[in-house]
Amino acid sequence: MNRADTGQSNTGSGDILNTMDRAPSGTGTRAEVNPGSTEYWSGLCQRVAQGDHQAFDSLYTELSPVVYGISVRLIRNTAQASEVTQEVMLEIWNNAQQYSQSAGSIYAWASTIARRRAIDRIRSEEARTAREDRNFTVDREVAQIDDELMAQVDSEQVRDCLATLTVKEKQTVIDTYYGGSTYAQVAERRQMPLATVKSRIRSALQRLKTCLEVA
Amino acid sequence: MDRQNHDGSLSTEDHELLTGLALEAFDSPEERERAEKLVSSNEQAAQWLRGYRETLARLDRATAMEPPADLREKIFAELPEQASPAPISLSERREQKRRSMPRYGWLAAAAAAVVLAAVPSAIAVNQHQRAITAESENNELLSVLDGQQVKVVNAQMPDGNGAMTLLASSKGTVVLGHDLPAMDQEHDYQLWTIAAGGTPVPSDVVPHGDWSAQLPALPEGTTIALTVEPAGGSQAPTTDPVMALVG
Repeated sequence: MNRADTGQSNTGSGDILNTMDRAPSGTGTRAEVNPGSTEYWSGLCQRVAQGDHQAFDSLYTELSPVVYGISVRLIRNTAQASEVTQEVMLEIWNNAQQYSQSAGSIYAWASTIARRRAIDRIRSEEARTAREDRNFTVDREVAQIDDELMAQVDSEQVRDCLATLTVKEKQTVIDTYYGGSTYAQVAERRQMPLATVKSRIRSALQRLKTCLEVA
Repeated sequence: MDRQNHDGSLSTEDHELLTGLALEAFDSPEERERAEKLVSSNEQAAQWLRGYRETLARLDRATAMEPPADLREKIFAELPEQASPAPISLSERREQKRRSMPRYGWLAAAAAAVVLAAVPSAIAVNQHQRAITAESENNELLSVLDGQQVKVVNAQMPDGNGAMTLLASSKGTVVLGHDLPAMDQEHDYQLWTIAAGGTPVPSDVVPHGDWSAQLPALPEGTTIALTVEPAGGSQAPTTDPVMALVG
C-alpha cells in the first residue's frame, strides 16, 4: 500500500481528480493502470460496487452500446431492447463486485449477462406475441441476413473471420447468435439432424475463436 | 457417460455443451445443468467456455449500437445511493449478519468521531480557495477544483492536535491532513471510506504532519475515517477511528 502525497510534494499531474486514469481508492494503491486493462476494469467495478456513480457512468459509456446491440439484434424491437439494456445495466450496477471473478474481459462479462437476459425475453410467453411483429423472418435467405450482419460489423478482422465460415456453419451461427434460436429450433428449421447442428455450431465457434486469436 | 477423450482432453460433446452455454442455445434446463456441472468441475472446460464467450463478445463489440440518448438518464434515476445487495439465501444472510456484528462497534466509534466534525457547507471554490491555500501549498491540487461546486467538511482530533478537511466535488474528493501528531515506526495513519450502511473500504496510508490524498467522487453520505494501523496499513480497521467526517 503506497503512501499518499505529502502536503509538501507536488503530484505532478495536471488532472489529479480525473479518477478514470488511476486505480480506485478502494485498493489503496496509487499505481497507474492502463485504461482498458483487466486491472482497470476491476478497479472501476470495485468503485461501482461501492456506489460510485461516476465509475458507473464510465462503464455505461463503454458497455451500453454492446448490450443494446445484442438486445436489438436478438429482440428486434427497440422499445424492448431498451428495457433489456436497462435491466442489464442495473444488473451490472448491482453485481459489479462479481466481475473480478469472471476471469475474462469486461465485454465478455457484460455480453454474457446481456445475451442471457435478451434470450430470456424472447423466449418468455409475454414477449412471444410482440416478437411476431419483429422485422425479422427466420426463413429469409441466409445470404440476405448474412449481408445485413456483415454490413453491421464494424471490424475488418471480425468480417474477415466470419467470411472463413462455410455456408452451413454460417447458417447455424446466424440462427443462434443472430436469431436466438435453440439447437432444436435450428435443427427443425434447417431440416438437419440435431447432432449436425451442434457439430456445425461447435466448428464455427472454434474457427472464429482461432481466427480472432482469442486465448 | 464417458465425457472426456482418453487423453483427458474434452470430447466433442463437451464442446457442444460449452458452445450451447455460450450461445444460450439449450432446449432444456437439464442440458444447462450438465454444462454448468462440466464447467465447475473441469478447469479446461471453464477456460474453453471463457474463450467461446470472448469470441462472441468480439462479434458483439463489432455490432454495437448506441442506445437511445435518454436511456442513460433513465438508468441513473434508478440508482440508489448505494448498490442494493444481490439476493442471497437465508443461511448466507445469517452468516453475513454474524460476520458483520463486530464492526458495529467500530462504526459506532466512527459515528462518535463524526460528532467532532464541523457542519458541512457547500460553497463555491473561489470563496474558500484562499483559506485552503493557506492550509496547503499544493496549488496544482486545488486548481482542479476550479469551477466546481465543492463541499467542505472539517474534523479535528479529540485533543485538538491535528485536523482533517474534506473537499468533495462531482469530479472527485480530496482529503487534506493538518498537523497530525507523529507516531512510532510501527504505526501509520490510514484512511477508510464507508458508504452509507457499508463496510470500511481500505484507502490510502497517510503520513503524520500535513498531507493530501485524492479519492474518486464519493456518493453523498460516505464516511471518511482515519485510524491508526500497523505500519503499511490494513485490509480491515484494527482500531477505532481517531477522526471521521461525512461527505
